[in-house]
Amino acid sequence: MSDEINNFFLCNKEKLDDPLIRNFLKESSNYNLLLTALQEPSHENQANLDQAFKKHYKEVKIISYISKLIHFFAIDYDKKVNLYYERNILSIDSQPDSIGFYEGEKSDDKFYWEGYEFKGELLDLVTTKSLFNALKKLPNKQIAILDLKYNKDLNNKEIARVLKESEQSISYHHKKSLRRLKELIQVD
Amino acid sequence: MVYKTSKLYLEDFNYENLLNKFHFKIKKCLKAAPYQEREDLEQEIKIKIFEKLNLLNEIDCPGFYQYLDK
Repeated sequence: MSDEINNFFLCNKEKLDDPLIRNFLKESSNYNLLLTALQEPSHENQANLDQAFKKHYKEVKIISYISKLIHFFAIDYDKKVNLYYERNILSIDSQPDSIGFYEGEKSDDKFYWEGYEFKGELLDLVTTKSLFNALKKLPNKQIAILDLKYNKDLNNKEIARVLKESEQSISYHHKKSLRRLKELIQVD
Repeated sequence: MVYKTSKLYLEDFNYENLLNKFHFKIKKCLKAAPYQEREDLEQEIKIKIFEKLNLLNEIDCPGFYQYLDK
């Protein structure tokens, strides 16, 4: 019986590496469905597998579609608004220096977060207990990166500049800390 | 307000659940827009998602083996 399973995995090795299928099988309930369908290839078992896969497929497609939709729609909307203001200039708009709308803390010429030091601001914002405990177990550097990224809303490049490290290492530590957090929360 | 579409065969994906799922994504996109426009943009995005909902619910999903054979 296990020969069949091995055979199946060998034959479809390439397809099983496809991210869609890989993530589908990561879920243990789905994986078990596949195993039962292989061991006892009855109509019902295969239908169950198909159903679960369809659901997963649809979920992935919808999520990717909508997140792209939101992203590009926001960009288009911004362009539209800019065009509108370009064509309909109010004379009051031409003196921005004297009025000065609040532009956020990230002005490029004088980098606001230079000399940043992590003092636990992120921990103050967390309301979930398991997340809080997990965060406390992270090394200081990783939690500083998380703070800069999610609390101060900087991107990798800016974080690299603040912490005086390379962008790659920031990206690596960011991913690593997320993975670690996930593990710690699941243990709880 | 109740949003219901006739062809929802995946109960999980009704309009409100979707909006909840994408709440933070939308907020993030709003940050790029100028302050005065954010509220309008948020509403526009939500309307757009609602418009696309029927289309999304009619996506053709292949079964597991069909997908493997592709």
